[in-house]
Parts: sequence; C-alpha cells; structure tokens
Amino acid sequence: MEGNAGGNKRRRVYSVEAKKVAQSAFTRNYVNYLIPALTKIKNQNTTTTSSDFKNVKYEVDMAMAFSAEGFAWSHGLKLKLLQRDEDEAPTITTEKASSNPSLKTSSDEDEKMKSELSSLRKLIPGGEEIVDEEMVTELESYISCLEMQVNVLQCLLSLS
Amino acid sequence: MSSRRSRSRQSGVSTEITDAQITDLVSKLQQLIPELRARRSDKVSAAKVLQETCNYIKNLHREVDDLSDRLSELLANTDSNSAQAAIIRSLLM
Repeated sequence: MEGNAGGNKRRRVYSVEAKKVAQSAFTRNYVNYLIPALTKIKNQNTTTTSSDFKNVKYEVDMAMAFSAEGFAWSHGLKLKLLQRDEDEAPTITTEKASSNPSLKTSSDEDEKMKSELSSLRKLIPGGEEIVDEEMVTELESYISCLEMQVNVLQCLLSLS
Repeated sequence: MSSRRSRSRQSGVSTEITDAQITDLVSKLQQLIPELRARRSDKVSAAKVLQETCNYIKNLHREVDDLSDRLSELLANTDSNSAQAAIIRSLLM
C-alpha cells in the first residue's frame, strides 16, 4: 500500500507489490523533481549554454538519487553529487576492470568473476560500500531505476 | 572449489562472496539484463553475466548522458518552458 500522501513525502514503502509501487513512485518523484529544476535552469541561464549541460546532468542525477530512497546507491549518488557541487570535479568514470594477476589455477574463473564483480561495484555509485548480501537488491533497483530514468527522459524529449 | 565464507555483516566491503550469493546474483541478473534474457542458457558463466551487467549499466549511463545533452540543448532553444512543463506534468501524473 502506498504510504506517501500528496506525493511530496518520500517514505519507504514496503509491501508485497513493493516493486510496482516503487516503480510508479519513482517515476512520479523523478518528474516532480526534474521539471521544476529544469525550469529553474531555463530561467537562470540566459547566456552560457556550456554550463547548461553540467547543470542539467546534475539535476538529472539528483532526480535519480531523490526518487529512490533507501538504497545504498541512491545515498552514494547524493554524496557524490554534493561533493561535486563543492569541488567542481568531473564525473568519475572508472571503467577499467581491476585485473588481478591470475595465477592460472583452477580458480581462474573465480578470479575473472571477482574482477568483474569489482568493476561492477565501481559502476554503482557508492558501490564500494555495498555488502555482498545487498548486492542483489541494489543492482535490481539501480538497473530498473536507470531504465525508468531513460524512459522518462525520452518522454520529456519526445513531448517537445 | 575453495570454500568461501563471508562474514560481511560488520565490515563494509567484503572481498569474499559466498557461492550461494553468486548463484543468486547471477540468476537475478539473468532476468534483469535483456541481453541475457534473450539467450536463456544455464551455461552462461558468472563472469560473463557480470560482464554483461557492466556493459548494460555502462550503456544506460551513456544513454542518460546523451538524453541529458539533448535536454540541455532543448532548454537552450525553447523560449517558453513553463507552459510545456505544466503540460508534461499533467500528462505524466
């Protein structure tokens, strides 16, 4: 059952249909956050368009972080964005797999798997903090939220 | 196969993941990732599944970047956004 009245409160919802509720809540929260943010950007930036992309990307990410509460990745994303706000640092894109020197033992597959797992961790914001038991739920929610985010953004673009 | 036990409750990061966790993770990912859903096979190795997951997430990131780019272009080009915003809002609610 939905627990947020008015759609502005962000509360954790745990129910049998948690996934479906979470999905629709995510989309609504996302749009609720992003549209005003974009409007604000529009009204503020009248000259420079180069900083527009950074601002838009920032708000896109923020919308993502705020629309799915209760996950390690959304928390990690918020932290990353707030730090970026202070440092003006570029986005972290570490995509190289940390290749461990494999010892050509029977656990060669294991090493490969472990290195893939660690590069997967790097892709998720705050991934270094996620314990293995939570990996499944974190990945599930992160991937489905990313997909929903893409859908929402495509909708926004197609409507104009 | 070496037995691995992870007591990862206390520590934030655990480098030892259990077999059961891997199996669970791999099977869930197979359902999530479209690439893997299509070729539903039990012979896919864990490393392959994780690799496909990485690729998928990277693709999604790229798409989000691309869409953000187009959004910011859109913002720069449209004159009145507030009317559109109201329309979009009402359509998506």
